[in-house]
Amino acid sequence: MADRPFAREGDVRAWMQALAALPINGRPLPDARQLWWKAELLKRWDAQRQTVAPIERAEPLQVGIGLAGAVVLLAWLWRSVPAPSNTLIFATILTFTVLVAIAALTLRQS
Amino acid sequence: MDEDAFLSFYSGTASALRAYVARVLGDINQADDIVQESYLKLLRMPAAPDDPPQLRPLLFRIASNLMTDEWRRRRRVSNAAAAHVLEPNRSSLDMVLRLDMIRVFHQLKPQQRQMMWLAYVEGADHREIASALGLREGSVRVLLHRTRRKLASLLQAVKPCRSIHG
Repeated sequence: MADRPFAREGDVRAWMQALAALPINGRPLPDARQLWWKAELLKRWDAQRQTVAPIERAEPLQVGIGLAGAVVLLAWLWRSVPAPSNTLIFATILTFTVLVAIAALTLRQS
Repeated sequence: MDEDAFLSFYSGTASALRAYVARVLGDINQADDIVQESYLKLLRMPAAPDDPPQLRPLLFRIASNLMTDEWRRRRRVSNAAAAHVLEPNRSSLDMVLRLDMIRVFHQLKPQQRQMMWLAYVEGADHREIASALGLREGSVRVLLHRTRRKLASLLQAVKPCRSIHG
């Protein structure tokens, strides 16, 4: 083996087995029971996330529909006013800005 | 899998898995993290088999994938700290020879180290190695042959160093 290393399959196996037998200095192995319970907790968490996922996905849609509805309502009210005053214009812009701000905050929190 | 079955499976596989990851990766701290993560992933799999002979290859496949992810991450992080290389806690010429073995093994590419370990320590066949490393069975045969040749040439290159030491 010294002159022709790994001439046979058995030599390779012996070398690798010797390497595998070398001690590994490190911490003791993690506790199996602790790992089991950690996995159980993670599984429950996964299940909860799966349950809540459709609701979380629908939240931006809900905000979008609400915002679109408010815009349509404002436009409809605007058309029905005979002569819009400066106060009404200001109130409309203010309402629209507040609606956009609320939508942005809601989307950011979700 | 229930708790008792897991405890039994863990006691039969943890040392072997840790040795595989630690020797192939060369970093005991990372190895412990990957060992834990491998078991957690296995336990969280919705359709994991209950049969331990089927679970063991699956566990090693998960660990192999995690090691591959770790190498990719290391490649991305250019200023990675030097690995905490595993060295046996011995003195004398015996230790020099042992260190030689570890150094030679780490001159192989990561995938080559994985293949050699799975083939010659775990006793996995070509199909199992291919499954664990995401390769084709035919490729494993060729790659293993090349790795053996490379290991042989590396060992021949180490010989003059040994004569200097001893």
